[in-house]
Amino acid sequence: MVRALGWLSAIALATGLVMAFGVAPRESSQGNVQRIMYVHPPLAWVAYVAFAVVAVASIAYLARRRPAADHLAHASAEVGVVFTGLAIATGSIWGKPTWGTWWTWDARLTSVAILFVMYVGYLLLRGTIEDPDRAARYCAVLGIVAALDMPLVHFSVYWWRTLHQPPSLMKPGGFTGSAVILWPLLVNLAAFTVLYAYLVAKRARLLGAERGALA
Amino acid sequence: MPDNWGFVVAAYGLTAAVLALYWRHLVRKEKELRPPKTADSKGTDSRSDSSSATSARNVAGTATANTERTRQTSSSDREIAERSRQPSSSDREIAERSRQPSSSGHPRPDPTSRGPLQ
Repeated sequence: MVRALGWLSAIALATGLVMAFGVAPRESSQGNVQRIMYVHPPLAWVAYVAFAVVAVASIAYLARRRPAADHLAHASAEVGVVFTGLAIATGSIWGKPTWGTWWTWDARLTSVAILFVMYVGYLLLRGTIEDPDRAARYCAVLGIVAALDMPLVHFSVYWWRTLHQPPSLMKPGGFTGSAVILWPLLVNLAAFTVLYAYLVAKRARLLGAERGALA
Repeated sequence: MPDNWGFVVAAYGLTAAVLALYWRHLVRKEKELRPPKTADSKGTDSRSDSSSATSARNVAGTATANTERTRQTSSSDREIAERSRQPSSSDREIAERSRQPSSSGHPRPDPTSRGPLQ
């Protein structure tokens, strides 16, 4: 099952790459640097999904105290941190030629940076507590509290004046651009979501094996 | 606006590199947790078979050499023990001299009549 997800994500990513460079046209105002759009929003989307999974799995753990829920939360937080870090980095790379700066303390960028730091803290907390049950309990609480930052991240572009553009897909009325831009974006969103599922499944299985080896 | 291909390559390259490194980290961890394969298991390849056979041969060779050395050691030990049982010529000379009367004229007790603490 995990291996199948791995192969599926590899095929989907290859298709997404071909569509981003072969199918999608050169954008008229930004030029080819706009092709970063086929990797940056999918990374940010996966970060949202990952932290939402952390919150749901943390609630499930606190309700039933099943180690599988804790492993899912831990794995999803770790993968989410990797994807959030990449979303920040690719956004920064995109920002330099379009905004003229690598970084600015606007509401969207700052709230994402806070989200990233909170989940890095979540992983550090896990590493510092030796008792696995206590670590799982504390991290479940932190995972739920940190998820409260996600609506702030998403709506920051509406609530404050920011340099970052409003969402292209996740907005009322949906995507307004042409299909030749929409399809490569959708394929890459699906590819990165499958990749996330593969990495989380692999990591959660490893966490289960590590716990079994320690017991 | 210029195309800025360098930024595009940097974004895609960084993403690919970080994800590949993370995947490799997981694969390595998975390998570390896997139990080690036994010599008679089906999964062992020819290289590991030959290496284990070589190491077995090396162990056997070392054991033979050690046995040979032990045998030699024990024979030399026997010689030493044999020699220690035989009184040496110097010991015989000392015993002979002790039986002779002293040159200073003092009477010397018979060595056979001496007690164990004398």
